Amino acid sequence: MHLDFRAGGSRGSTVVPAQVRPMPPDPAVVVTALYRDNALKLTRMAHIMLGSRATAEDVVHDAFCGLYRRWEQLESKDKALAYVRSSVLNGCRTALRGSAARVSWPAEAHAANVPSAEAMALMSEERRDVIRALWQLPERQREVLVLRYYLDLPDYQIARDLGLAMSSVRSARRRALAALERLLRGTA
Amino acid sequence: MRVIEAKLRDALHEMGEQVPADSTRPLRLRPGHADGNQADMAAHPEMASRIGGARTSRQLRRWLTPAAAAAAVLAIAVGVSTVAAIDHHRLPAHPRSDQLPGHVPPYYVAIHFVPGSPYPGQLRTRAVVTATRTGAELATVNVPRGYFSFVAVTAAADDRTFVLAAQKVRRPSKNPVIFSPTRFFKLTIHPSAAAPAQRAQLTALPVPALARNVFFLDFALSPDGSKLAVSSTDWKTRPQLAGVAKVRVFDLRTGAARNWLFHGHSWTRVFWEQDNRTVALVGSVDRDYRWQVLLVNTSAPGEKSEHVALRIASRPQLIWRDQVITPDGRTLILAREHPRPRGWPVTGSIWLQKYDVRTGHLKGTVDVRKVRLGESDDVLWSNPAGRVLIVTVPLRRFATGPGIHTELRAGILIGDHFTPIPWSRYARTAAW
Repeated sequence: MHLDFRAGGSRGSTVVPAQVRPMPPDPAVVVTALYRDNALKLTRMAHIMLGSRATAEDVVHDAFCGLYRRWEQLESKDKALAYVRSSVLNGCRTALRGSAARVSWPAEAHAANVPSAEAMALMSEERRDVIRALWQLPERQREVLVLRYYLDLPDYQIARDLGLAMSSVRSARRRALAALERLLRGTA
Repeated sequence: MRVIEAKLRDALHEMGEQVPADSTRPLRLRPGHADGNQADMAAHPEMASRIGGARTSRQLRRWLTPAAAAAAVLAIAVGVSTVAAIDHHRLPAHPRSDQLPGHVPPYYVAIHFVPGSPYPGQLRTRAVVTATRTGAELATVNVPRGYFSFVAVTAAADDRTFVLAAQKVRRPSKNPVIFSPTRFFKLTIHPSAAAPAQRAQLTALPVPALARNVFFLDFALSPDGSKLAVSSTDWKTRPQLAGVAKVRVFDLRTGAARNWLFHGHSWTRVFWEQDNRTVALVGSVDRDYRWQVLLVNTSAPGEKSEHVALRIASRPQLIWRDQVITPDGRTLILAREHPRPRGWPVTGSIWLQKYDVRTGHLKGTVDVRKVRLGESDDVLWSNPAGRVLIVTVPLRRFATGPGIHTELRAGILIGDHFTPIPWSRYARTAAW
């Protein structure tokens, strides 16, 4: 979705009389529209990252609430979606670390950082192996692969979302794919 | 596109589609949070002008942000120092009532440091019979001739019979691992006797002493006072028996002894259950972070005597400071230290927690305290069910001895309510 809040407003040096100056859009309306258009895709991404649908929905919901709270502080409103995407990734990391920190007993230790059994049972065998291998990758590499191959983001956008250099994104992706191939060969 | 990329893309999309398209929950935004006061000030410039002449929200923010940051830093500094102070001085004063809660035993034997020692790094100690409620020192027992200090004390359930472990002075040696011989002495107290000299009677137990370079770990007197269980590690024969822990149970009436050897274990704590037969051992396995509670039936023959009650996987960053099995054998009380090496002046926290020995489930967190590294809550006594505890907590007001910068304070802990009991600044440990 492309957000252009300047449409109909003041452009360049044109002075618009105060009485016809358009009201700034209501943040609640804008954020709700943004949520309507992007929540599903982001929830699915979070589900891939977390392996839990309920937690994914919570993370995405919280990310949009955070966007709404900080709307006025957002420097550029057309970067709202990138901001939310970063928030979702941060939320996923926090959720994963939180679940790992809560686990202290050995029986639960394996359940901390893997997708739920329910999620895995719904997939075909080969794709299940791919997801399992993906989950064995380091966090950063996993994020790069999901942003690239699920959200189809270009490298420069991934770099901006993750706060990395372009070269780091490329090398992370290259290493992640190599590791993934290695892991899948091991599985087969 | 490479095959792996295609496979990955397909797998990701398949997993993503597990979230149905119509499942998105409605967004619930809290009204009024989006712009807060700044929007009000933008709408009403006269409100903004009242604060330091700033007329717009942007100008306001320019002034307010550094001021808020400075205030926050100040608040955090004050908060940290207050918490550090409160954490160690928040304990209430001694109780005014004549009765202590929890029906704790009326007397205890404490091991006190004696200031001044002719041997650097080795502290002389003595045992002091003390009344729990008043703190009155009824009798003082010095270390027997030939020995230098008492290092541990354990008690029977009759509140009259105690056993003290005494060690000799460590002599300089080429061998870096040096442990002094350890001998056990029975202390019988008669608190109602008129003369202090008659209130305590120390006799050597008819059990062999632990030899030099045998590392004495822990011991426990059975509730009826008839048996003594001793845990040790044999360092003298380390090349042959690396990591072998030995548990010896002595029958104090007949002098008979029974030994158990455990390879790769270290039983740091020993407890008797109320049946006077079962010994509960707590320790680590193979020097990693797996801990076990092992129950040993000292009356059963052969290998059937041992039964692992609980296995616990810990983490390297956690330090197990104290472990206590309650006399009913059902609860493990554990003081774990969570270090934060960069967190000066508070460098960690102690979590005192109760676990069910049968299931390993957490039953409750008794206490959480911020401490400096090495300071810990110690549980000195527990009632049979573990509901009433006598614990020591560290205070940092005095240097009690050379290299000892922590004064302890003891109290009765019931739930999260701490009732202090009189406690000498020289007392390091005690048994009830």
